[in-house]
Amino acid sequence: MKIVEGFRLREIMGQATVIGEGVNQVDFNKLITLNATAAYLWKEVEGKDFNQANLADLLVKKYGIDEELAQKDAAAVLDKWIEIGLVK
Amino acid sequence: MTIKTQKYKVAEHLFRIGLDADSVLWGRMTESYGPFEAAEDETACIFDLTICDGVEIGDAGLVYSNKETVEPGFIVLNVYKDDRNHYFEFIQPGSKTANGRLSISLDLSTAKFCLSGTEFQQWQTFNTVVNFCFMLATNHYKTVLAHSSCVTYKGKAWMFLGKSGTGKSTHSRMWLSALEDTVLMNDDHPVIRVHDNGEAIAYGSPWSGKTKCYKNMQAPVGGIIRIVRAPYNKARRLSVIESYASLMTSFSGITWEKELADGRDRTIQSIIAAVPCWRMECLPDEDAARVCSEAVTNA
Repeated sequence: MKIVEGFRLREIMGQATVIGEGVNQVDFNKLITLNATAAYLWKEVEGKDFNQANLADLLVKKYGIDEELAQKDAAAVLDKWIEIGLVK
Repeated sequence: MTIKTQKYKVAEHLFRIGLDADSVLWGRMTESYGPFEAAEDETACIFDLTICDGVEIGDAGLVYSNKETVEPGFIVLNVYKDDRNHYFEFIQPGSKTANGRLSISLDLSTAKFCLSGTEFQQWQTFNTVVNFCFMLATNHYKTVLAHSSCVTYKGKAWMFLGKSGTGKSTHSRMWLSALEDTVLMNDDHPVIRVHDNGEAIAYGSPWSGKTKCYKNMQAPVGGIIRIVRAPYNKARRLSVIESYASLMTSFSGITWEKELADGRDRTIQSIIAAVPCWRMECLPDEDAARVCSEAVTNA
């Protein structure tokens, strides 16, 4: 899957925030704040094809957590992003 | 046709309009644009808009259209782009064909516009286009058009935001009747400009919606207050993210062009750094003005 075109990660007064700015997101009208981990994942996969396993790998690489926990955390982030419509 | 030109200055931004010397629009402009006329020898226009015959879109590609999502009563906008210009096609409510086509150079400084339709439609579209060119050309200069009703009180500008029909203008009226020395600056589209020293200043503009309030005045912004209807009167200071969300929804802007979105983002963040933002849950009564003014002027 991929981040839906038109969503941009911005830093608002130090807070990582996703804003819908593209042609198809003009009416999105919401702000999604990301914690540091989610912001890291976002930057890594922006513009690329990715799946849950890629996110888990990124978490293992950055935080040195074990594979099982990484899969669980990656699934949680991805589910949330899908639910909000940020990725497809 | 002889083109006559006139310079105007809004929020200390100079621009020039060129239009047929015999056009009926000059007469209509007197009231709303008159207060913003600038001397011919002033230089450094940020944009130059010429009303002419025929703007051809050619084979420029469609970038955006709000045709499917636009609410009744609002302007339909189609946007095209090629390697020289952005093109905007405006269709007024109730009209089937375009009432105007605008081309604006990619550097946003040179605009050409052709008008059609009835005189009233032409006037409305003309206003939309000047407003639109101003919005685009000022994007780099930490300047935004706020969809707001704005009053001055105690030397500062207080700007009320809200969806159409929530009572921005009504709330302004309450300040005007309940609080001494309150002045209506603009009832629909005042301008906010953040200067190099970080100060955010509100300015009157030629665009004031249905209220004829075209004052060439300015004041430092004291607060930006989102008006929400409620059965009581209560003001609450917004967090940084809430402030951003509040301003974002009420500021004009084109965000699908990354550069323009970046410009708007810088402006919003500069405003939040300089000005407290609020949410005012209120009734349409004078007590609302007293509760609100007490909260925001004591921040």
